[in-house]
Amino acid sequence: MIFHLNSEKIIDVERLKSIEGIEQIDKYRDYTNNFTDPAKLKPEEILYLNLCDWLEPQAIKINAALKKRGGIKVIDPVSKAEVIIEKYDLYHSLLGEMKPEFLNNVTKGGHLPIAELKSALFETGEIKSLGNGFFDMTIKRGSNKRLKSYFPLGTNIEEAVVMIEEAILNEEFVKYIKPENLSIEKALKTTEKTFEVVHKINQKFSIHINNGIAKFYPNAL
Amino acid sequence: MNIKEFIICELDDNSYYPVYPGNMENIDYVAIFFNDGFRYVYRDGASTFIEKLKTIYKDGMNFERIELSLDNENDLAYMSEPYDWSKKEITPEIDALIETQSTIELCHRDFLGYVVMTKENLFYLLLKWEELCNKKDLYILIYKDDKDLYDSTSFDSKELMNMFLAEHGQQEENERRIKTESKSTFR
Repeated sequence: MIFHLNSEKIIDVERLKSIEGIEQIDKYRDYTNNFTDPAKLKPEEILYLNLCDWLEPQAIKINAALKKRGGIKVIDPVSKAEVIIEKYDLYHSLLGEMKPEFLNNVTKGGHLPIAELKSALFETGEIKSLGNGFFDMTIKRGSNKRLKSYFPLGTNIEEAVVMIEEAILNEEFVKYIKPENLSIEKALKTTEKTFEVVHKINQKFSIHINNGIAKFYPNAL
Repeated sequence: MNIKEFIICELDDNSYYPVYPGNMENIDYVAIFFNDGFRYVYRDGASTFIEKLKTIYKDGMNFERIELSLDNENDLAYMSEPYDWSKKEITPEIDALIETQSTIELCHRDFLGYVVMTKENLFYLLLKWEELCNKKDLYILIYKDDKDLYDSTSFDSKELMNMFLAEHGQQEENERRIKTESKSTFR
């Protein structure tokens, strides 16, 4: 990753141009006219795009392996709510969201503690340990102040996914979060579901699955 | 035409600031968007901004004090307050909605204060505000009419604005506000 921690220039413009179907990158493709006008990008945006480039081959590998095994089923033993994860949105879950010119969105997602990216984007505050290396940190962007949970420092992408999958397989502790505005009958029929899962090391994660695509995060709640 | 809700914005130091009646109403979020988000719109021009909303900002964008979210399936635009984690209880469901950027769902669950209008109405307002800002009259009035459409007009004197409000069914409410007027704290 060290090679990609660059906020001065796009490391490989041609590679970035060739990546297709990733919303986070496509927003910048439109904004920079397919990366032909990188002068429009702020240092934080260059760093983010380099990290998207770094993530891409790993995301392809992880999602290909998931597809090969037919996805992974999440099931709540009590409510019987279930869903099959067909793909991980690793860009949202691990790097977070960023929009051209409007950096306020970067508070959403992004649970891999990449210090260089966080310090370039946020005013950070108190850090609270959740045990096993996981931690909560207060972040501030504009008027939006919130607490976010992070994977332990040094966690790589494959390790993060393995932790989530192990927690999903810890079936006894999988809990479906029913939307308050829906009856259980209606809720079970929707293609969008949120679950809380607990890893055997006692760390809680939340997983939100929409049409088979999962976003996930460690969670103190 | 009858006016159902209104808010007055006053020119001060080249910017328009809402003059709040004191209690937060839905239309106030329109005024916050006009005061906070419209600076970015005005910078590049309303037409360019609208084009961006149709392409790179299809799901909306966040500003300092207001969030714009687009529901493209139903052609609606939501203007909502930013998340304030200290204000309300965060349940696991709400936490997941925040995390997954489901701002519209958070509005529907009344976790966020918001106003909703059609996208067409939003685009109309953006173009209208650009026109009004170029005129630089002393006051811009933002209002919702009896067809639930949001519109704006400007006045170069308070008397003319008061007359307009009286002609459209808001004399009493306007007089009440004049007595208890409290200006925006966002200057």
